[in-house]
Amino acid sequence: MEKIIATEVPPHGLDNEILTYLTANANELKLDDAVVYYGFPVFKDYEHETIKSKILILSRVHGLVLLQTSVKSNLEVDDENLSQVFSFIDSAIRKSKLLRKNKKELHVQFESAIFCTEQLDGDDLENETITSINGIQTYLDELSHDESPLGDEIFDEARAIIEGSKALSKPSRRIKISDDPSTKLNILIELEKEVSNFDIDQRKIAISLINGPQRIRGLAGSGKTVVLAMKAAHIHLQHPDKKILFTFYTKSLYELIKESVSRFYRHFAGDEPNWEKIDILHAWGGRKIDGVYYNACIENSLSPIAFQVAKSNNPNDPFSFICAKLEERTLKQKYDYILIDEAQDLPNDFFKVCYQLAKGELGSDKNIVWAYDDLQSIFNVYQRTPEELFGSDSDGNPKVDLRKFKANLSYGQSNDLVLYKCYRNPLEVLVTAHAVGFGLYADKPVQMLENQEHWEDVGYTVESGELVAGTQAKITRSRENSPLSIYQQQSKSDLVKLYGAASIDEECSWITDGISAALAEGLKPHDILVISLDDLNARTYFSKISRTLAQHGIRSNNLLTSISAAPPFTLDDMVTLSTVHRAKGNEASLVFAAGIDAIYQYKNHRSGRNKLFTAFTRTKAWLRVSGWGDKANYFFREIEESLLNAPSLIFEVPNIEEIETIQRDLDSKSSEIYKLHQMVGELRDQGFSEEEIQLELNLAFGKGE
Amino acid sequence: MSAIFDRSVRKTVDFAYETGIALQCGPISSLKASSDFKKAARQSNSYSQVYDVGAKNQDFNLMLKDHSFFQFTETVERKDVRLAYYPNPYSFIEYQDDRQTADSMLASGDITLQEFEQLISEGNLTFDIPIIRYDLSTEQYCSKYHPAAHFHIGFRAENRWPVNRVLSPFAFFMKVLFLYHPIIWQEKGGYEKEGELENSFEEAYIRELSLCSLLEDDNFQETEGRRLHFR
Repeated sequence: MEKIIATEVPPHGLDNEILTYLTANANELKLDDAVVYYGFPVFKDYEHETIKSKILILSRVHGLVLLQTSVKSNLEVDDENLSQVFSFIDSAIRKSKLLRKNKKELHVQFESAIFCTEQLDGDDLENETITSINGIQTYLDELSHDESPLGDEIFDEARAIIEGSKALSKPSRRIKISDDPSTKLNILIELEKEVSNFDIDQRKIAISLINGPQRIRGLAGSGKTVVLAMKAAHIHLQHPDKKILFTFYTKSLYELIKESVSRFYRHFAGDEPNWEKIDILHAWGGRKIDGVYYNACIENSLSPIAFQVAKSNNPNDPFSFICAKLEERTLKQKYDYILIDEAQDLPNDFFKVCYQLAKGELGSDKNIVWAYDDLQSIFNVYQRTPEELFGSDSDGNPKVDLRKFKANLSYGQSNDLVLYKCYRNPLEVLVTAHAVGFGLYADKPVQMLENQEHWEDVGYTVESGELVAGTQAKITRSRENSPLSIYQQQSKSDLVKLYGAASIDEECSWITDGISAALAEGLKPHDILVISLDDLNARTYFSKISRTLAQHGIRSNNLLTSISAAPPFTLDDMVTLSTVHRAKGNEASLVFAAGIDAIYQYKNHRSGRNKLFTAFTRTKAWLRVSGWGDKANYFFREIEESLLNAPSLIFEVPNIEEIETIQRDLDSKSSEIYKLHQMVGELRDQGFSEEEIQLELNLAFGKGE
Repeated sequence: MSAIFDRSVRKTVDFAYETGIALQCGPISSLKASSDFKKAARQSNSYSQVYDVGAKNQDFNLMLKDHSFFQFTETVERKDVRLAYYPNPYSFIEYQDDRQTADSMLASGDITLQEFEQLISEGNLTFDIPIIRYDLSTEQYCSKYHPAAHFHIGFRAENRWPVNRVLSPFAFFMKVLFLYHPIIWQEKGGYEKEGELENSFEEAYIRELSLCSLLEDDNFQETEGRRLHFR
C-alpha cells in the first residue's frame, strides 16, 4: 500500500487511527496495491473556501473510496464537506474519456462514507456512515470487486487525474500529417504523450508535505523544477495564509516556474494563486529585479553590497561574499516555507541566509526544501552535505541533520528523496552526455563519481563488480531509468548526428539546412534550439544563422539580444538561439550544439566538460553536434565511441585522488588563462586584428617567420 | 504590404550585414509587432521598458551590434507606414571609473554571464538617447494639426515634425546611421578619390532618397509647405 501524506496527521486522532489500521491490515483489506491519500486533494468552492479531503483510497478492487472522520457535534458540516469533495473529484474524473463508460456511468466505482464512533440518531446524512474501525472492513468488502480489478490503464489515469498531472502536461496541439510513425512529428507526438504519463514519482514528492527540511536529488531532466513548483502550489492550497518563497539561480527560469505554480494551482482551485503569499525570487536580485538577497537587505534595513564591491572582495564568487556578509547579521524570519531550486549552483552562505529567513526556532522546525542535481554537484566548488550547507550551531552540532530529523516522520515519509528517472533525454543521448561530461573516452577522465552507490543514485547499474582504480568497469543505464521509447523508432545515428565543417559559414549552412529539413518534417521552429558552445563567437554564429533563416522566412529568438531582464526562452514560431549558460534548465526537441571546437582548449577541464554535458542534455529527442576541423574531431571520436557502447559506459576506473590533483592544478591555471583572455580583449579594443594578435603570440613562442 | 517595401527591408538588412554591424536578423519583410510590444509602447512609463519588450520578443527587423534595433512596418502602401529606431538605453555603464561596456567585459571573460546580468540589474543607466520614428498615415491626416508624414523624436512624443516625403526603410536606416553612428559612417563609408575625401554611404543615401517620392498634394498642402518641415 502506498501512502501519500499531504498534510500533517494529528497524532492521536481518528485519522491517525484509521491510517494505522489501513496500514496494518492492508493485506486483509485487499489494499496491497492501493494508494491512500491523506489531506489530498484540496479544492476551492464557488465562495473560494478551501475544501479538503481527509482520506481517499484508490484501489484496484474497491475503486475510489472517500472517508471523512467526524464527531457528533460537527457531523452536518463534515457531511456537507464530504459531499463537496465527492462532487469535485467526481467531476474531475468525469472529464476523462478513458474513465467514462457512457454519459452517466464510470469505469471506476466511487463511494464515500462518514466515520464517526459516537452513537448517531436520525439518518438524514447525505453519505453512508461507518461507526467502528471494524466497520471499515465490512464497508470495503461490500465495495470489493475481486473478480474484475481495474486494469493498469484505468488505474493510472484515475491516479493521474487525482494527482493533478493533467494540469502539468500541456495539451499537445500537434496534428499528425502522416501515418508514418518514424517522421519527426509523429515521434514527437508519442514522446509528449509518454512524458505526461510518466511522472508518478514526481507527483508523489510534490504532494507529500512534511515538517522540517527536505532534500530532493535528481539528474537534469528528472523534473526537479516542476516538482518544486507543484509543491509550492500545493502548499498554497493547503495553507493559503502561509508565506512561501521559491528561489532559483538561472534568471531565465522565472517564467517557467511561475507558469507551473499557477497552472497546478488553477487545476485544483480554479483561480489564480494569491501572489502576495508566494514569492518567486531570483537568489540575488538587483535594483530592478526582486531577489532573495536584495529583498532581505532592504527588509532588514541593510544596504545591499554592490556587485563591483563584491567582485573585488571575492573575484571567484561574489555572491558567496555578499551572502556571508548578510548572514552575519540577524535577519527577520519571514517565510513558512522556502523552496530552493538549482541548489548545486548556489553557495553555502546563501543557504544560511535562507535558514535565517525561514520561520522556526530549530533546524527541525524550518520548512526548507532544496532540489539539487547530484551529478552537477559532484565536483562543484560547493560542498553539498546538509551539515555544510546550513552550518552548525554554537555547540558544534549541525543545524540540519536529515538522518536525525527523519525520526520525527511517520507513515513512511522521507526527508531525503531521489528522482531516479530522467524523462528529458533519450537514453543514448544521456549516456553519451555522461561519457563526454566525465571524459570517459578521453585520454584521461576529467571527473568521476566516487563509488558504486553514487552511480546507482544517478540511475546506473555497475555490472563489472567492484570499482577498483586501474580495472575495467562496465556500468549500464537501464531503460527503466530513461524510459522514453524513442529508441524504438530512431537508431543511435538518427538521434545523434555529427558534422565537421571547414568554416563557420559551412557550419551555419549545415545547421540552417537541418532546421529547414526538420520543419519540413512537421517540427515547429520553437521545437528547435541552437546552442553556441563557443561563447566568444556566439554572436557571430547567431547573426549568420538568423539571417539565413530569415531568408527562408523562419524567425529566430536570439537570447543575446536582450541585455536587461531575462528573455523568454521560447517564443512561438521562432528557433531559439542560446549560449550554454542561458540554456540551462530549458529543453527543446531538436538541439544543435555548435562550435564544439571552442571547448578543445578546456578539454581536460571540468568547466569545458560540464558545458558539453549541459548542452547535450537540453534535447528531448535529437542532438546535432558541429564544429571545425581537428578540434571538433577530437570530441566526435569520444561521442562515436560512447554511442557504440551505449547504454553502457566502459572505461578504466581512474584514481580519483589523481584527478583531484590535476583539477586543482588546472583551476589555478585557469585564472591565468582568464587574464590572457582579458589582455586579448583589450588588444582588440585597441584596434588590433585577430591576425595581428595571433602573430604576436606566435612570435612569443618563437614560431614566427 | 508591397514588394517594393519588402525589397527595401532586404536591402537594409543586406547593407547592415555587409557593413558588419548586424547582430540579429528578424523578418526581411514588413514587421508585425507583437501585442506585448504594442501594449508596452502605449503604457510604459519609461523608454527602457519599451525597449526591453522589443528586445525580449524579437520585435524588430534588424538589431545592430550595439543592441539598437529597427522596426519597419507597412500596412498600406504609401498610406500607412511606420519606421522606427530604438537605441540601446544600456549603452554604457560606469564601472570602476572606467567607461567600459559591460559587453566587452563579458566577452573578455572578465565577468561571467551571471555576473554580467547582475551588473546590468544594478547599473546606473543612461536613458537619454532619443528614439526616432517616422509615421505616414493618410487616414489621420489633417492639414492643420496632423501632418500625413511626420517624425516623432523622443519617447512618448506628442510632437509631429512634418515630412513631405514617403521614406523607404533603407533611406530611414541610412539617415539614422548617419545621425547615431557617425563613426561607422565615416570609417566604413569613407574613401579617397583624387585626393578628396568621399563617402560611399553618403552616395547610397542620396541615391535612395531620390527614389523616395514626395507626398501627393492632397496629403501635403501648400499651407504646410510654408511651415517648417523636412523635405
